[in-house]
Amino acid sequence: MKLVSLKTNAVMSIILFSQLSYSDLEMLTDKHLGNVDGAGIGIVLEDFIFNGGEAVNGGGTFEISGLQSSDNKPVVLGISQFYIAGSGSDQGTNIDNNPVNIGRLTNPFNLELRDGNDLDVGVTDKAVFEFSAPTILNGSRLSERPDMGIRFDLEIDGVSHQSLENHIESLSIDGSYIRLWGGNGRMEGELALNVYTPNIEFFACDSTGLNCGETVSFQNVSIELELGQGEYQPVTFEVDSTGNFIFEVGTLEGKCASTNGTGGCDSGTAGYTELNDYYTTGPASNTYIGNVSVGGQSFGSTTISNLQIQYLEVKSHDL
Amino acid sequence: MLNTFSNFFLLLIFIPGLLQAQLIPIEEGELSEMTGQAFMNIDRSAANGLDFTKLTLGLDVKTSLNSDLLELGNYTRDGTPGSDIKINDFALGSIDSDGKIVPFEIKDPFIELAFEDNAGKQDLVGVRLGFGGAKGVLSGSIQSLTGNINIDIRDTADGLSNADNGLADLTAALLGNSPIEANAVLVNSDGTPNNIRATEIGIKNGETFDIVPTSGGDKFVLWAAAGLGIGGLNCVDNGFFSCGKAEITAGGCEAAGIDVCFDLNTYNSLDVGKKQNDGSFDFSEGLFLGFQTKQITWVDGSTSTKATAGAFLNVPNGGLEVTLEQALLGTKRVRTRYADPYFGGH
Repeated sequence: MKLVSLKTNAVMSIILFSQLSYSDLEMLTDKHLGNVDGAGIGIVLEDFIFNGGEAVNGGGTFEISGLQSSDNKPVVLGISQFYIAGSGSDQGTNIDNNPVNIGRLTNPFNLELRDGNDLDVGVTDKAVFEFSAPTILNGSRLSERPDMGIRFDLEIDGVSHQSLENHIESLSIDGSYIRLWGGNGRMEGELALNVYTPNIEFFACDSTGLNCGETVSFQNVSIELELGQGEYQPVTFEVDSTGNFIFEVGTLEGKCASTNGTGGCDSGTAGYTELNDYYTTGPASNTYIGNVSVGGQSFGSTTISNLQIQYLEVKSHDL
Repeated sequence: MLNTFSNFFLLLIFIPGLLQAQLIPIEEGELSEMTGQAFMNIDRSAANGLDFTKLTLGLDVKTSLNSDLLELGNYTRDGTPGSDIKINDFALGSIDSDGKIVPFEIKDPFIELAFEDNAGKQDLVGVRLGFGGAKGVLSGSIQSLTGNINIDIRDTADGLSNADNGLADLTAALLGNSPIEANAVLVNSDGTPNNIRATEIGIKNGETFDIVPTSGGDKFVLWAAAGLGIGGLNCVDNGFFSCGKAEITAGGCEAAGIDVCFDLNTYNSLDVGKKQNDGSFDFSEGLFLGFQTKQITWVDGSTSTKATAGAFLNVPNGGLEVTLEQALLGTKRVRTRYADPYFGGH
């Protein structure tokens, strides 16, 4: 009896202790967190297939409703197919038994807390949450590059108009990451988004998904987008009191201690070195599309190089 | 007994834990009453034998950006290699003399798709990224441009003195304060209109410089000057010892001996927007970047714009306005970086 009682007390103590711990989480200071150097969590999805929508085994449709046309007629966007599968999916028709590995055990997607003092992070004495895709160095293999696609069915005022399809072959987002930290009473961050694919296709079919027309394709696509640079140029996302969102890439205005007569920053002035470094090695975006093809007609390559955003504010409003 | 008590106590302990962990879902009925922000419109329309699907986003965008190169449609066209659009050192927005960023502003951007019915199939024949409104400074060294970029030249005749031409100097001296107006478009070096891979902008053949004096004295001087044939002036609104409006007609990229065609890359910074009386700019509609397989007429409200095949940049008429001096000598690039190579690196 005593033994049972002791055991019970022990169990109760453990339970109570865990409850107390649960309700009394003590905050770590940023300085303490800054010293954390965990290995993080690697995420790999092996033999992964996702295939959803009404076109798949009688499945339901995910609908985006509540939209309107400019003359206030109701608009419904039905997603009749969304898939992620292995290479060779043939625009979403070869999905079954065609899995893909998302990440690799030796090169996974990563969730981790990083030391903000690391040279490539640049957030002084703070812990930084990072979600990153596999590295470019090790590169995703073909078996780790999914085919993705989506089919929208457009309905306006109860009338089905057309089905719009988008298919991406052998997608890699290697080298992408998002970093978040607390700063200035809000969440700040920076992000890099890389998109590599040999082919992105768009085309339209009739409202039943048949009679598809000519295809617009973007071949050999390489998009490398970098937004924000640590605390120097944080990226923020907020919602204001009216319910609209505000996305900002921090301004470079005010980084120079004293601008000259034409608004520039003279060498030797406080802030010049950082500004000059920003323009030479700071975050930059590059886009290259090897060929744009419409219905088999080629319109050549498209290039946007070394695009630097020194200020961006995007604010939504009702239409 | 103790086990019963333990179980009861354990239950009490777990209940708050469960309550703490349990998020209660909102019922469908409640959810259906929720309305999101209507910041997106989707429209279908038909015009000129094509169907259009347009997605408009309710966004206000302010930005300042720089890019080394913006190049679209790099392919061999009619046997000649080149690019439909190529702009070096492209920039949107500026930095003023106080070091303040003056952003390029965009509102209500949209993506529009054009479809052609082909025996029951919907062929996608064009796509464009457009803006409900835009204003701000666009900078760059334009190497090649396919599109519409009409420039209104508005000045006084005094501005003709920049032409380094004797007749123009005389006209300027005689009619210094008289308003002068002309419209410049993309042209070939012989003055014929050409909006495909253009490298020059100017007053097309047959188009006129219009001189419209306001004072009675200037109307008399203009009447006399036109009567003497000074500066190629041709009075088209004759009165009694008075001329209300005179023209100088352009041909072969010249008007009265003045060069009226200019390299696009001399226009290093251009104000986009509708110029107001106080000199400020308001939002201008019709700015878009399109990509089409054939000539497509895009419709913006009551305005229709014919876009040629390939990449196409449309800057709406009246969106850009320069003085004669700017037209003749080009426009200087504004500051777009705090450490700017165009300002000696600082």
